Amino acid sequence: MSHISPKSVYFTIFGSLMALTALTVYVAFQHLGWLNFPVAITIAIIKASLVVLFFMHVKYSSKLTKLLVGSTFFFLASLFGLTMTDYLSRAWVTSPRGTTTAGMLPKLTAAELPAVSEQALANPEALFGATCGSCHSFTTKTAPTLAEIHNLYANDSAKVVEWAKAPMRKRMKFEPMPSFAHLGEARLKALAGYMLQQAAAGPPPQ
Amino acid sequence: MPDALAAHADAHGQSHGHAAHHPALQHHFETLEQQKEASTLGMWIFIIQEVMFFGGLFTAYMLYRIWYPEAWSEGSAELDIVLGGINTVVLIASSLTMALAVRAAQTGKQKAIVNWLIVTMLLGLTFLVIKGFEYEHKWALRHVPGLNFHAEPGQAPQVEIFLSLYFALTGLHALHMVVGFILLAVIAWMAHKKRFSPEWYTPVEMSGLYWHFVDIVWIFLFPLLYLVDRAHQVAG
Amino acid sequence: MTTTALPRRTYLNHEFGIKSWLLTKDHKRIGLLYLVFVTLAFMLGGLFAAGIRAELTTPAGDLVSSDTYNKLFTMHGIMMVFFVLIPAVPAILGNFVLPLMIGAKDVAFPKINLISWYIFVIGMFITLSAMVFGGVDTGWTFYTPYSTQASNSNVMATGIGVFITGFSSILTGVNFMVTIHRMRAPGMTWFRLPLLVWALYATSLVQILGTPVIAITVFMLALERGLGFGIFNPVLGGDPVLFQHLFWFYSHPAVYIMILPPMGVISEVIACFSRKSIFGYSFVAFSSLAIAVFGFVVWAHHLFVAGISPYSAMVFSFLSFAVAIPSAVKTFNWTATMYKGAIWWKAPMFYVFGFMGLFLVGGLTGLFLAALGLDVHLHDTYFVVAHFHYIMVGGAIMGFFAGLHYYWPKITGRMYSDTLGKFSAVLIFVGFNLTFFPQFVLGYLGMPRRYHAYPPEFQVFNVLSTAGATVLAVGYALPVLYFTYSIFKGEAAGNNPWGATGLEWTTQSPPLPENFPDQPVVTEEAYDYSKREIKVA
Repeated sequence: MSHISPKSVYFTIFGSLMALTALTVYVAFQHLGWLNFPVAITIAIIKASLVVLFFMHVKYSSKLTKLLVGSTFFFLASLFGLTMTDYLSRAWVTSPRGTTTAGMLPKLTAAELPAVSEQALANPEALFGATCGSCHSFTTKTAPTLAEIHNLYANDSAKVVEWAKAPMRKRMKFEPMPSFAHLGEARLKALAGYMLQQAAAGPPPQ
Repeated sequence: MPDALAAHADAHGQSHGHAAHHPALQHHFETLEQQKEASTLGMWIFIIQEVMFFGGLFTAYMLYRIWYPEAWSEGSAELDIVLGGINTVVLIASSLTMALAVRAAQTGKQKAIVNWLIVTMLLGLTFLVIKGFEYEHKWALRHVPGLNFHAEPGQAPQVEIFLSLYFALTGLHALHMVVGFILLAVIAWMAHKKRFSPEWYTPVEMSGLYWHFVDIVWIFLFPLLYLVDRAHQVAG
Repeated sequence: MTTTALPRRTYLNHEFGIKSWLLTKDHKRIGLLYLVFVTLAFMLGGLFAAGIRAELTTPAGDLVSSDTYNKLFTMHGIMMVFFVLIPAVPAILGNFVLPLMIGAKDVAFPKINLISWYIFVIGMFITLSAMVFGGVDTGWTFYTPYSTQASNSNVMATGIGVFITGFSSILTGVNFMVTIHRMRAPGMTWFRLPLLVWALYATSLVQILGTPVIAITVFMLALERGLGFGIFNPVLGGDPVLFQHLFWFYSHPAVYIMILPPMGVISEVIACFSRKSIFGYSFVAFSSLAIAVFGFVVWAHHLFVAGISPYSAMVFSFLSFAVAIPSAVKTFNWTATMYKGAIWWKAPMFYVFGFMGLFLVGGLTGLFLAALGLDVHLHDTYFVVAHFHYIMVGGAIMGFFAGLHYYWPKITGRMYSDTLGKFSAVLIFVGFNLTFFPQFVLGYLGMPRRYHAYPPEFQVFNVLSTAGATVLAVGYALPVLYFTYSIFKGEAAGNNPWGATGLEWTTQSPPLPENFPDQPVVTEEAYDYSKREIKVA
């Protein structure tokens, strides 16, 4: 005959599941950064394991049952994992023909950079096209669009300059933005001003 | 593996060593034990394929969560965490009552089987009603992808993908609950007719396995859908 | 040779009437029910193929419009993949023979077995309706975004049909797995099992774990197409390649569902017609499991040029090379079995030899395609078409026919004309090569697949291919005729016309409804041919 658990076991497991549910909600509201997701999943896995082992009696089941239940996760893991080998490594491709790649541009040499003078930087359109504009446009799929940049920064060109010197990576979908600190403060200010101006003006009429 | 020689029943169903041929024993099996083992194994394998079934949706979820953390954050924030939480508690409670129903069958408590099954069904129904309210609310907010989706201004555009997966996952889960509900109704009726005994209660146990599986899916859906980035952090 | 009479009471004659068939729980009758519908599907799929080959005989797209042509190759693929290749050996031969081979009275869940058949027929009916009332033109692969946004053919109905049919496959897998675990006769240990049982077990694993994924993928496709949900839609930020990942996660292992059971049949037939135990039994048994498991981790070789990351592609390319190894193990072991065996040239053995040659070519050309650099050039050309037809038709269908010819006496109690059997095997082999070998050349020369018009310099190969298809059609039609004839006029087979080992050959042909008069007890190892005499017929 199969194992009959005492009622107390079921109630204890139920209590644990309730506690873990409360825990997962509580933790969700804590600032753990990237840890929030793994913690939530871990709690879910623990809860699921309790249901499987005690409510579904796997703890008292045959070796075959245990083997079958365990092997499911292997196949699920291969579905997730191998699919992710594609998506997580797409951004590694630096060829311009990659799917979500920005195409790493060679840094402009000193000779190619315009002089740092008011006159040279009055109209930074060409410089913009060779630097920021190569990734940021209104229709780009490989970096935030100018519209999004306008949403984020409005007129705050100082913040844009700070970002361009030391870009962080907030959107995993895009390849990391390289630093443009080598352009120097003056050029970056001119570029930032120009970019925000272009962004505010909106896309050209169709 | 039972000793099939000793338990041999010939083709005319004559009784053998110990108990007479139980009415639930199907003739291609040698013993009730073998039949029960076969049923249990079969149900587990079926559950495993259900896991792979949901697995495809989880794969899509995982990819797009990585790609669109803001959309996920915004989409999740618009789900009612209180209703979701209540549903989680309700469903886990229904797993408890289901386990107690199986236990009642194991210990031959005929009325208790029926009662616990009915409670399980009522809890399941509660879940579905609450879900109904959530869906209705989503419709009112024009958050249903494809059908009446209307993007809020300033919202990450990929929220529609989040919602597509929300409805696909919870809808499929709800469908499984409806099937489970019907299954439990049938089993409860059989229990009412006193068909089960400590010697044979396999259908109760199998329904239990199915019901617990449906609960487990929700155990994952709740944090994955309702608890994304509630502390308002951006991923990365 | 003594004349044998047909047994008095069999699974065929103990009950009559349509209800006794449509409500049967007997795995043997269910196998035959599947045979009827799979044969029908094969003929329909063949008709679509005839349309394709007729169009391709001339370079210009002059017989049918390109839309119609798209429908022809789509429907050919769907019919053949889902309604012929997937069910053929497991649902027909497996259903019939598995319980007999392990000494059981039936499968573990006979009612579910019948329900599986009904599900299969309903799915087939829905899919056929979709084909008749407008057709489907997306390719059997249903790639998004064409299938979700642009195609105005019957994608939904076909999707529903395929979704439903998938459950037939899943339930058969569940049934077989539990049967093999829990219904073996006393003494039938795992390593005494015939290799066809190991093959069916491995196949069941794939059916159970893989089919649900295509089910959910078709479900997502339906949500997107029907309700406008955004999961694969690039406008909303979705990735159409995700569909391909999910689709091929099943569809690649599906080809192992198609080939593993025929490989099991090959093991049975080779052992019997070489009068020798299979060389390296445990290697062959484990290789079936290895193919099933490895088969799950290679799917993205169908996506090499779809835009996936080249790093991921390298991983899948490596794994795709690895999956060839267990198949090679089998091929070497079969060859070693035949070496110094006493080859008995009967029709089943002819099909086995056909299989060996064609599967070898098909398998090796798979390695060409697994190589990333080559695949860039060969993807979506006729090279791929030739490769998979060598495996699926040259391998799986040949194996299925070997099994049909081997088990026919057991199923019907009658012998068919061995001469005609051998003649058909040769005709099929010749016709097949004539049809598909030129396609390797065409692919190498660059002719794309799924095109109904092509440059005139490709015509000669296309004409050869069409000619071959005609021969192939005759080769496939003949068994229908001589098998049917044998049912009425064939000589009674007796328990064991081939002098084979195995529990299924110890009982009468056709078998009793309950398979065995008494519970068999197994004491011999599998394929113990040392004690058998060659039966000269």
